[in-house]
Amino acid sequence: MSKNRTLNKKGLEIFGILALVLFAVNLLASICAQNNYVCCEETKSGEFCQNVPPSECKEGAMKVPARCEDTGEDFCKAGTCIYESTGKCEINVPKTVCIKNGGAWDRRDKREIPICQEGCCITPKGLSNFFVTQVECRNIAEEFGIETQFDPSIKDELTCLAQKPSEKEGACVVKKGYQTECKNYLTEEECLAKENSTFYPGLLCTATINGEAISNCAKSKETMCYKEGGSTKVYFMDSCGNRANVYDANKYNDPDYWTKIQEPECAVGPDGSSTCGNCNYRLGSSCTKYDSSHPNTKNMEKPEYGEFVCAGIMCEYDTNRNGKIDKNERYYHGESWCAEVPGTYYHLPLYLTYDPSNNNLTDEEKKEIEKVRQELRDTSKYNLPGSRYVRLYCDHGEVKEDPCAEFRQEICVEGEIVEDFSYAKCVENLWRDCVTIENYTECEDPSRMCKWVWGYRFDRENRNPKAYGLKKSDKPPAEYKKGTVPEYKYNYEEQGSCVPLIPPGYNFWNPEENKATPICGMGIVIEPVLYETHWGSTDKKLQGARKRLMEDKKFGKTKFRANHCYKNCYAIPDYAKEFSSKGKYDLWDLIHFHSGGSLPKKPEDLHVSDRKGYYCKNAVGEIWGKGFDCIGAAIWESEKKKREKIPIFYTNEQWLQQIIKRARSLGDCGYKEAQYEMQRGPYKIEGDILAETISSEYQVLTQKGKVKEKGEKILLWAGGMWIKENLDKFMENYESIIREGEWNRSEYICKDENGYEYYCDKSQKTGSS
Amino acid sequence: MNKKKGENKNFSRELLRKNKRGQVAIFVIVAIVIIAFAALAYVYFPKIKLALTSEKKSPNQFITECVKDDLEEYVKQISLQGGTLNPSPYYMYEGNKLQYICYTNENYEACIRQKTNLKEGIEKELEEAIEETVSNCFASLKEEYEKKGYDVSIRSGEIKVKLSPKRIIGSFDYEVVLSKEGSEKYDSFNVILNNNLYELLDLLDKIVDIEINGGDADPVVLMYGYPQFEIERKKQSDGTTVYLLKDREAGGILNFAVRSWVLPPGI
Repeated sequence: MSKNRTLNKKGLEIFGILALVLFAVNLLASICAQNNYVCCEETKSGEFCQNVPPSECKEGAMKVPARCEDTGEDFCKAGTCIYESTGKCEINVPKTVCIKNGGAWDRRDKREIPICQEGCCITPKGLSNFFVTQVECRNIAEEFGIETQFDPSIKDELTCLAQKPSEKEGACVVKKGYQTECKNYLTEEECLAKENSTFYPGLLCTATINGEAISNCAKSKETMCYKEGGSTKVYFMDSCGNRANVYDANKYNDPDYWTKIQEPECAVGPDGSSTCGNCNYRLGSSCTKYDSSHPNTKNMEKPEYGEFVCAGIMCEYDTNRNGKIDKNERYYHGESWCAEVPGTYYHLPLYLTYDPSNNNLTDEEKKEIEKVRQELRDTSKYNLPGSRYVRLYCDHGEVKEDPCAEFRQEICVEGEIVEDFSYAKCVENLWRDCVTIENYTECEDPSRMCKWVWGYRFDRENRNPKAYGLKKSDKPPAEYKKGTVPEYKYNYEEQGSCVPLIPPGYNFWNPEENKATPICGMGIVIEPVLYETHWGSTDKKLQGARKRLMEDKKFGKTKFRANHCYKNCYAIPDYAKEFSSKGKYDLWDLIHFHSGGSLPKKPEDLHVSDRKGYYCKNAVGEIWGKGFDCIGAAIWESEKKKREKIPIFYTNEQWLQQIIKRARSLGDCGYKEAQYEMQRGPYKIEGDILAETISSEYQVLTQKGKVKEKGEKILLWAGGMWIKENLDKFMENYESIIREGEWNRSEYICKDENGYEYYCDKSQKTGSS
Repeated sequence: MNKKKGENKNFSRELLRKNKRGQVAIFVIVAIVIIAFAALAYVYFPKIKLALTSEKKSPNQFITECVKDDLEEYVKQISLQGGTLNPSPYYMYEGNKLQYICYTNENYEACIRQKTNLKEGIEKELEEAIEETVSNCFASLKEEYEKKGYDVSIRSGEIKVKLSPKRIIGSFDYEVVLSKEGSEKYDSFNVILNNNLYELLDLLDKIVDIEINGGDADPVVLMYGYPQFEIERKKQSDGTTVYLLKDREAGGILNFAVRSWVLPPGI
């Protein structure tokens, strides 16, 4: 009597990824074998102080068998390099490099070294200030033959640049015969250098003292542009052509404004102004001649005095690529926003992630973010292979690109920091931690860029509870949609995988350049499906058994049958089709059946297992009728101990949908139908259906679990479709017969290096199931 | 006959008058053409201009004009390549080698500074680069003045290039003595370029410091602090970041590469 045990094995493979998994295994092996990096003083390609294999070290260069940061100060330890002649201090410089370039090396952080402290070097008018060290400030003074003032209390550049020299400026009146000339904004020194001059500190040429004008210059309605401190502002001009105070339409009739030099009181925003000349180049406005047809001034009012206004330096950009500039496509200088790059999600919110316990978001904002997160789950539409996030910004009238890191290692998020002024930035795609998280609550935390896909765990455990005692009336709550989410009693919290919300990418088009291990291999599933037949089968009986397995009484033709399956049955094509979202029976009926209830029909009349072993622990034999119980051979064991756990999937459709979702979320993995354009080069890549496949291989086992015969490996499914002719062929070749009455199945289970189970000879057994 | 003679006389006088007018017209036209040609030649052929005005050009002017183009060219090359004529290590960007100012071959690590004391390094490279040009220019100067009948004595000296705020100054410690009827001594030779390379280097240092510290050298933020510069950042697929700095007014540029705190694709 030959008792054969067979193993019907199916797997979901991502073509090329299997090779990559093997490759990954090999790669890891090679790294381990060559883990003898050295700290090399200079590499063959001219880099200093890098951790590299010894072969990459330049001949004659020093090398130490340690990481560079662990080497001594005399080698590659990085510190601060001080150049006393220039006053420059540079950080993270290895000692060898520092000394080679004439510097003095200090192990301390730059902030701890007094000579390296920067302050404000204030220069006389005509030169801008410098935020430098004191030595640098001295060098500047020497270079220009000027006097500078160094203020160490000023600790930032912007404040420094705003400082003005202490010398007072004023009007300088010069008598030339019977005539007088007057110039504004001269220093006393400059004025007194002229013959017959009188200096009026702090005053303008249009000033009067005790009712008497100091010169014959009078106020005028003319204005002019003048550049000072980095900004070109609008100034009043007097009748002598001198620059007076900054243009302020409200101050024209103020005598004091034409007497003393004053700082402007009005301010100009990014919109510009026709009444105030205090333009700020930094903030995007500049002195411009008014022109009703000029894009920067056409929306402004004509200035009351003179011809000049502070115009906003704006940008226009067709962000939505509709061929025209919409109202919201005019941007102020300094605004930034996310480009609508095909394949990405347009305009991700600034707070895509936030700390749920500490944030200032309104409920509406949180709802909006949640909506975006739900939309991001569609991996066939967003974050497609080859797509890259790009930030755009307006720089003085010109739109510039600031692409985020490649391979979606960064994404672009945007929001409004003030009303009508957008701000975008590239932020890190925090996907790496996702795969280490093992529960739904942590995974779906709004502070993470992860999402939960119910179904397989990465460790392949089944954390569901045992199925028993569910009453027919214990229907799941209304929020559980049929077939789309796990049903009642399912351990949704732990039974699933945490995957990236925004799938990262890698340069799959150039494997030679791709030094990173892709994570697509994590989505591979190898599922052994076990069948049970009668222990007494002979060849003839075997044929009989085979016939029973193959023939479908109802349809009278060869058809693959699921009802003799007793393990991982959901991998069988169309398993429990009737109970899927497209079928006619309620999935709840199947769940109830798993806990000892009854089906609307006999299992063998449905594409469902009729083996007790699928529902009861350590049980064999057929289920009779529409229901079953688990009392069997071990009568003294309580029913609860006999129930199998709730399976990870109930139907083949659930199995397919969830493994696809998980695989495609891991990165540029699986089949993604939409065309996408590579960020580099003008070519497009179509989705490759062989990037996502299911193939199956039969194994016929002996009673003792030895592989007796292997069937042909057949590709059943690719890129979202069952391959019908292959499916038919698979069924025709079916020869699997399983031994009945196995109690200690675990004796014949081996685990491979990835933890996957398969049947093996007892003598090969290395571990337990 | 007399009538004919009279008529002929009148006719001749008329003809003569017309001829004279015609001649004047021709002379005027020719004069205009000559003047126009001369003006065009003067404008479009600098050598002619040089010849015409060389009598008035001092040795200082001569040397400045002779050296300036080469110096500008070397400054441009250095600026395009990240502060050196021979970048190493470098990143290839759009056909140009860009010096890695700071580099690490690893991921998730701060870069190690590869090029330090750039200002003095550039000065030294420029001094070496223009040495031959300066020497040739003084030789040309000698030749030029000897042609004009001068006795020329040149003592060669040190060549110095200095990067200063808003300018680059080339100073040549040469002494030139021109003798003809009297003797003239010239010992101050300078070439001054309007160039903000000094300020650009300062900005480079700040960006590199940010990169080392794992910060975000955001061009939008930087443009507020440095409105006189255009700052562009281009992240490359291997983790390198290329920076392109440009002075808006003076037109000076500085491009360089950094590889720091790289997030690799895959695990």
